[in-house]
Amino acid sequence: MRRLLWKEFRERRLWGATWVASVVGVGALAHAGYIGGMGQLSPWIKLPYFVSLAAGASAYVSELTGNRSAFAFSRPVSWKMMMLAKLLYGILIAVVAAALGAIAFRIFCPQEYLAFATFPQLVGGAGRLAWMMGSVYLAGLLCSTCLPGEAGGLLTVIASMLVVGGAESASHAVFKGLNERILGLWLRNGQLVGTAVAAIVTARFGLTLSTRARAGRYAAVFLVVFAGMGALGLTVPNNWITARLRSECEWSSVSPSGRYAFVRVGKCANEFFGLAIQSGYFDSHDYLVRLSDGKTVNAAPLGVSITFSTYRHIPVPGGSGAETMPLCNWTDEDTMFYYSPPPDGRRAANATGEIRTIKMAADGTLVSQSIRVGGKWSWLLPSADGRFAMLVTYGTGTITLEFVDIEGARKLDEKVEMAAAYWWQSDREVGYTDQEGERHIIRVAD
Amino acid sequence: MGSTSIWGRVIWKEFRESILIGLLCLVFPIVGFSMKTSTSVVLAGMATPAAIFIWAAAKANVRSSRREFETTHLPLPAAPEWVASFVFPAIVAAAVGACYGYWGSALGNSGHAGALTLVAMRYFLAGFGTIYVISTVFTVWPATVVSLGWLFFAAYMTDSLFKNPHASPSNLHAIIFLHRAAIAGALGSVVFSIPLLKGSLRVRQVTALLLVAGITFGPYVKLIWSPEPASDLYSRIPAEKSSQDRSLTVKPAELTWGSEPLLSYTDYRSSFSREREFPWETRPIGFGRRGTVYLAQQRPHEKEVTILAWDTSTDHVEDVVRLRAGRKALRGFWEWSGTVSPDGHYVLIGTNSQLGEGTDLWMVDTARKTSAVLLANAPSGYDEVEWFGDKAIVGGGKALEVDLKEMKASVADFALAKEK
Repeated sequence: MRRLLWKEFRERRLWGATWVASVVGVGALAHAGYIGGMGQLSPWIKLPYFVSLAAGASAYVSELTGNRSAFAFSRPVSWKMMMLAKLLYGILIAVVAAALGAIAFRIFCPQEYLAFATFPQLVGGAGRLAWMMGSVYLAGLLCSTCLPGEAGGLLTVIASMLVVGGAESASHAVFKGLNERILGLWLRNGQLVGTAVAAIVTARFGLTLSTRARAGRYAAVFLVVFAGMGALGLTVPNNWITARLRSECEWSSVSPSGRYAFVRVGKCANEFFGLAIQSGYFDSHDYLVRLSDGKTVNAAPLGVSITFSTYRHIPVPGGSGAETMPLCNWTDEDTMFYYSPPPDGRRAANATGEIRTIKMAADGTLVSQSIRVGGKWSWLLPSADGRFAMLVTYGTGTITLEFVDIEGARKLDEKVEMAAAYWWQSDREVGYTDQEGERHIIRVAD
Repeated sequence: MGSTSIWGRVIWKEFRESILIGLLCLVFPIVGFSMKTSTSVVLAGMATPAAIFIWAAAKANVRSSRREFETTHLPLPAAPEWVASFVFPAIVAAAVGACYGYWGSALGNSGHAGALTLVAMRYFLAGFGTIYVISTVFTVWPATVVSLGWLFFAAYMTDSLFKNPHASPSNLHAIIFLHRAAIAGALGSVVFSIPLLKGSLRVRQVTALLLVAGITFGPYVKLIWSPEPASDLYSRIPAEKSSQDRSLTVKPAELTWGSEPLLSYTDYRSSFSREREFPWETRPIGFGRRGTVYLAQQRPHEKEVTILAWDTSTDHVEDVVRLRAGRKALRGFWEWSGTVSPDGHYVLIGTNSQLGEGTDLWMVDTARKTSAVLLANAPSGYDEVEWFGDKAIVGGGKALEVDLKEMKASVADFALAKEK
């Protein structure tokens, strides 16, 4: 085994050096790869991934050239030892490269980020990077037993991606939403399992065959396993997968008192095997939770998907997509409220949108009320304490204001027409200017 | 057999050898982009250039090994041989690039068909030329590494250059880079193939390599000592910022081409207003006490983002603090993420991170005039803040608990006791 490992290092030292140099260079110059989640990593991190894929794809170049595998097998060398040596080579380079990259990152890290470049953070970042590069190397390695030459492995990667792309497109035509995403997860894992089985078969039985016979065997095994994984995806219930995904907080908003929070929890795939994961969240649910020193003591599923607005000034209909999203906010008394658009999602003069309020009772149940407000207005602007809100309608050069009592769950009788500007003068008073620029203050509640 | 007849045969040979790869490369984008799934788009996006680059490397390598035989046994001058073996396949690569760009735009419904066709054509020509030269001059191995570099370029630029070439000024630099690389490939190939230089193989190798590297990367040498441009914020018009109850507003009062914009502050409750000229790159981010407006500013070629306090009662503007991240320039800030505590003591603002594609959440203590990064390279969306004395909870993504005095943040735990 030691000699096989030495052979790997000698034959592929250029790939190894390029791989290490790419990780160190990216860590030192682009400060990439060690801080931030997968979605936030710098695009420069793709460079080591490409190199590790190419290094893996070139793993069997030597064995598939000039009948060398026949010679190797005439010696006391098994196919398992040969494959293990190639695997260990990749693991070793991935770990060494990630560790050296972490050192380079720490040395060249800008002052402002040093607080985040702690030992545990760097070890975690290096471990994750090594895992990802090792996975990508493995994906290349599994494709390298099919076609000869440096390009042969990459062509096999492309070919397997073509098959997955075709299958995903077919599933896209038939399934939608969660079903499509879960099936996609099966198909991508099918690519990995398929190439793994095909690589083992060809490494065991095919290295001394002609290219044509070997490629045929590889393709047949891959397609059978891949189809099997696809069939599993069609038959296994979705919740078997979602139960095995980890839960993560996607969104959160703490109430002004700090006693409650709105939390969206989604399921997500683990970050492994760069070619096998699907990004994003599966099966998200919204909860209203009561907090005690940051700990959850009670949670109630809202049963409706809500989007929080950045500001209390909530855009409702008329925009690009905003009308289809219920935008939500808090009052100072821990009542959540949001605009629920008409079912058809379009703005219409007589549409019957409503404002819904949700509050958690002492026993943890949710108390919900609705205020029918019509659907012609453009903005919902709560007062500072959130207790009242004005409905703002923009006309041609004029603005109309109507008012609702959020805590009391009713629409108020006051109405302002032909306004030019508007604001909350206090929690109960509204200020506006008319078309002549004259200031007015009205009280919306006693 | 005359040289004209030989040339015709060589061209026919090139055509026969190129037609299959050309057709194959046309299938990738048509199939991949029309399927519109993420995998198929990635597949089409990467497989087509990968196939062309592998073809370029292999073709050049085969040509190198055959060249000695052809030049000694066939009456074919060097120049026509170069035209047949380099220019003709380059035209095939450019044609594949044009189809790639067109189909990517038309079937992916991304628009900008004409611009994308030209960009993709340039990309394929540049990649083909440089890889061909490296493979001819050296071997397939370094050419494969250069191929990976070109694929990385495509992956890096996917969100801008290959979706909307006019979206960002930096795309213009990328297009100029592609021009230079294409010209460098052609010149490098000429220098190596046509014996203009009466030198040894080593001299021609070094000359071709220096030519390709010099033309392609030469202009970037100056970046080693001169700062990179900070941001292109100046191309955007300052947006209006209001307090949550709309009683306080800052908005551009007057925009005149060639002069700085006039920002107008209005306090509707007291009917007070003030106007002042600010540079284009200044954005209001929030309101403090007694008519103080906080603004963020990053002028072109400035490395730092400056937080300004505009005291509207005295019309005095003061630099509160300058945010900077090492030697490099900060890549712009997110004015919508700017939040000021009710007492005006603390400011939170997000900037594009130096560490990746995420956001750095900065905290500024306006009284002590200090700043710190609370969260590095995080997902964007930290824009909803509740203030509780010396603590704040920042929502929008995973909730952060911020110790305002210590200037430190930790992720709040929202693990649900029981999921239903």
